[in-house]
Amino acid sequence: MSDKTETVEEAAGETGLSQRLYGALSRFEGPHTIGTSDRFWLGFLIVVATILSYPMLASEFGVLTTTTLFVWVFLSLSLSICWGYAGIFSFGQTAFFGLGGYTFGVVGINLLPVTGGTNLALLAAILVPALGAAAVGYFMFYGRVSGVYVAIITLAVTLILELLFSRTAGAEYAIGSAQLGGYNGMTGIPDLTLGAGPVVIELDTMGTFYFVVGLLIVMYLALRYVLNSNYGYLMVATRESEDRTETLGYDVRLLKLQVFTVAGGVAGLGGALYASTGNFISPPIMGLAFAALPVIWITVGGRKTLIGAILGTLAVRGLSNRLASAGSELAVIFVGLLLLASVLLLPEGAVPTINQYLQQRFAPDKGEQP
Amino acid sequence: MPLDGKDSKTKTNVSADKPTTAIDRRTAVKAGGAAMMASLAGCIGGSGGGEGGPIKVGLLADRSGSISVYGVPMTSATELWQSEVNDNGGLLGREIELIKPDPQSSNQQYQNLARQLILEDNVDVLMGGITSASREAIREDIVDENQQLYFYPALYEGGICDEYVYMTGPTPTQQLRPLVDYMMENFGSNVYTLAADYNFGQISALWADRYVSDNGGSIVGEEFIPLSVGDFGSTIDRVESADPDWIMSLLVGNNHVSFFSQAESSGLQKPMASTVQIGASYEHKTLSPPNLEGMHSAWNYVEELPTDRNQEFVDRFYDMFPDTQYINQHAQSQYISCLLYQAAVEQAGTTDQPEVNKALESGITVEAPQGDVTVDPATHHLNHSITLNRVTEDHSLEFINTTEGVEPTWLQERCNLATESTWDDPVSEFYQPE
Amino acid sequence: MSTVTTVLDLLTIIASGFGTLVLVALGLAIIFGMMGIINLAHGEFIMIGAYATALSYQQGIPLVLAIVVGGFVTGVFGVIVERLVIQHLYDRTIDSMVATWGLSLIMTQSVLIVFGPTLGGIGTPFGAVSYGSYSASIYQWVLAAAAVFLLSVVYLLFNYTEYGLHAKATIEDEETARSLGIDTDRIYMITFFVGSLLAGVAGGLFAPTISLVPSLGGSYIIEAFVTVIVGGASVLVGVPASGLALSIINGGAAQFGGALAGRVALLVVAILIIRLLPEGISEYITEHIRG
Repeated sequence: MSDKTETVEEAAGETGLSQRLYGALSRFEGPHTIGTSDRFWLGFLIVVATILSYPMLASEFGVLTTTTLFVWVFLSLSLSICWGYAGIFSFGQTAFFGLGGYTFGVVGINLLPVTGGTNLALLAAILVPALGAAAVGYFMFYGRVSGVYVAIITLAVTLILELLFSRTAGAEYAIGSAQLGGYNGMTGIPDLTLGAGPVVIELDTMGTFYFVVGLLIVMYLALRYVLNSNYGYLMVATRESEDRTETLGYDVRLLKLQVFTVAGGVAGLGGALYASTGNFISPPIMGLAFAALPVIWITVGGRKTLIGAILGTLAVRGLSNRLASAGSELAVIFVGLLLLASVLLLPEGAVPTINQYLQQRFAPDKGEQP
Repeated sequence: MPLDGKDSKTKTNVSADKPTTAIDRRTAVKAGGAAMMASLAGCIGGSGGGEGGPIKVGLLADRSGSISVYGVPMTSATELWQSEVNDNGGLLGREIELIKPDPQSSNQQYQNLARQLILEDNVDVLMGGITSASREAIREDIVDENQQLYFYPALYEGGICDEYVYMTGPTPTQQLRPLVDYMMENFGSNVYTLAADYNFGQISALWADRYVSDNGGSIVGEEFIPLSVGDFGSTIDRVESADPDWIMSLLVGNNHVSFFSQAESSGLQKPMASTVQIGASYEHKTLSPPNLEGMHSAWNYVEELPTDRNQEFVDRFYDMFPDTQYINQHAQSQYISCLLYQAAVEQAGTTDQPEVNKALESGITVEAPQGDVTVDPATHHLNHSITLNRVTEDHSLEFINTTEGVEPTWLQERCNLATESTWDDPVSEFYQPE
Repeated sequence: MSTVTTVLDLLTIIASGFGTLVLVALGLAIIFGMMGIINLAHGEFIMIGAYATALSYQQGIPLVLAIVVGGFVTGVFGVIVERLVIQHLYDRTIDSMVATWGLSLIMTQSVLIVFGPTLGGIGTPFGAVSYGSYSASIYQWVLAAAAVFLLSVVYLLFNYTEYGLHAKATIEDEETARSLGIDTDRIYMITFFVGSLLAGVAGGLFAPTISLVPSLGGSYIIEAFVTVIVGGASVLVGVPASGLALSIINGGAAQFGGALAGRVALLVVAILIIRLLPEGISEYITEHIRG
């Protein structure tokens, strides 16, 4: 790994702290994620700083819209984890997203007057979908279901949930004081209210923005760490060839179950954030049209990298929003064309292709430095 | 990460297979970051409907996706009103500016666009929403929270009692009472109900059942069909074996329309009644005769209403929009919303929303194509005149009777916005029948 | 209410369910089985067929001919799509799903823009047949008959024509087929034409009984998808077997529990079958026949 040696050597002349910093950073770098130079991390910091200063400059509407966009990223990341990195093509992450949202709603509406906060609701919204994912995952992977068949089963799961939740209109379909609301959806879902003991903060627009962004950054870094660790190598090995990985002695079924469960939890977290920022959730979120969205977003951006998933989501959804806002009847056609172009022209996704292009442009220069 | 082992030598780029890791990828991230920020930045700051500029009307009506059947005529009706007002010197001398994004039949976009219209475009009035779900997605946390005056034109399950919202479409209690009375009087007391399996269908069915029982009749069968189901073989079977006197149809959406042609070809010859068919999704135009013969419906408005005023309206509509497929209830109620808003602004002398609200609550009457309509100050609903009609063999409508001034009595027992609610201390409830 | 009429009724429901499922799935299955392509725009292909049939019928062409026209129009459209998009995606199953999803968005919206939210309907041909206090639509049986007819046509096509021979060779081993002089490119193109034509015919057959809206394909895609995957790789064994099994489940559950139960049962059973018979029904059957 001559690059790592280079960076460490560059730092060799500096204090031991920097050395340790570089060493720590290297745990977040690797072949499975984009960016391994110090310049990348500098750029990363700049981007993060820009995002964090955005609410000071933008209108309330801008902040609200941006927060919603970031919430969608959680859904995409969950798919990127299981599909992009471990090769599990799930067409039903929206099932866990929706479950997370509804769980947050039910627990939040019931417990907020009691505990004064939504911490438990948030936790439940991660655990319940994760448990669901574990159940579905166990059913599939220990039954040796793989490939496109996983897509069908997960799609069927999300559709079943949509059908069942649509039936829940009427006052009898309530859990505690939370009305499920059927097709009209569950309203009155509380804002995020965090706190411990006497210190309770109900997040307003800006607060929610920072919370979501903060969670996203933490999740991104955590994923980078895991994906570049031995476990990450295992995931990629599973994606590339399950048989070979298994021959080497690894329990592929267990690995897939673990990954799928975590992905379910991440989707659930996204769902909770979605429900609390819009104070609303309804069954179509688990329907076919929505199930396809994360697939579209990360295909366009690049499913084998985290940044690809993130940027693909922001770009395509952002574009969709702009077009809806313009009221153009060509909006949907643009998205369709984007998808076609993406698959045909940029099979790896936009971000890895841009990345490769940039490498080709800058690689020769870099190598010349002593 | 395998090493090339080679340092790149010259400037001419060989196709890099495995680039080394010592590459500047900052640029990629930054470029992506910049693109992301650009796509995120929404329009900042609308020009705000001040007392001098144009009056901003925000319309949320789907023009793509499955709900476009309703959304397209709604948009046309609004544009018709806009041109009529602007051609006659505007409203309070100000031009009407119509902002009409397309929610693409998605509740998420409804939320997004409602926020945009209210927070960014600062619309003076918000109109639209079609399904109850889309209305509920925006009502409490966007419309109520931002104290935005809002008109909802669609027929729906009834029960909304909200200071900021005016409902210009009919409710099941308004439509069903005259319809059930007539059907039972003329066909008998055994009824089979078919309803769409979601809130609107379920609640409408509940009301239908109640009115039938009140009249001493009985429901010999009741089925709820999910919106995505389009195959009615076993349903038709069960209806036939139950042998009702007539069928109450509360079926909704494109998939359910198949019921009528499947019933026709199965030889199911029962009279039918509906508060959804004909006026909302104009099946008598989209299905070929005689599939819908014998369908009775009760509406505040259908395009065929034989009054001079309506005929004039229809002519103007088709003049401006010759490709219109049908002027449905949604379109006309949306037109009423516009007329009401116009009348209220004129009465109030300003577009200041609390003032306009007060004007509306004074019990404004306007000359709608369906007839004169008055706002009920207590419920913010309209007192509709309900006309019964029957579909004939060639799918034209035969009119039976009209009941004037049908009020939303059930809601009136629970909801009195005029006395119990103010703009800054509002009531906002969604009553469900017990 | 005698047992005979109840049984006849149940049979009619199963027959019509079978007919519908086979009709929607056949075209998709051929394309998936042959080329590893999952065409998520399949529902929209059905829609094209329905629209083309309706428009021809409204121009005065008799219904049966109009359905044939509908099939051909869709077939030709399929060839165009294949040349432009699909041919780059062979054996890239998941990429084909994504690309065709994009295609479906484009198709639905374009039809909405050109033809408006709804198209006028066409009447249901034939009438009713009465037995006892029940009556059944002859058309439900017509669908079942059409399904069987098309299955036979496909059987003859793949077993008694030169195209069929070449096609089977290509599925078996593409490299060898090509080295034997078979123009595999052309085989794929023809196959996609056949699959699209079948989708179009299905649309034409449904047209008299449904409401013609641009999004009508959406209600078929899930059933088609599920039927194909549950059926497995062999089209001629898998599709009818899967169609039969699923229609019995759906019809039976709907008869006793209502439409929601039928829908949920279909999805649940699909999940179970995929889990228990990972290669689909057809593999299970062929293995057991081989004994």
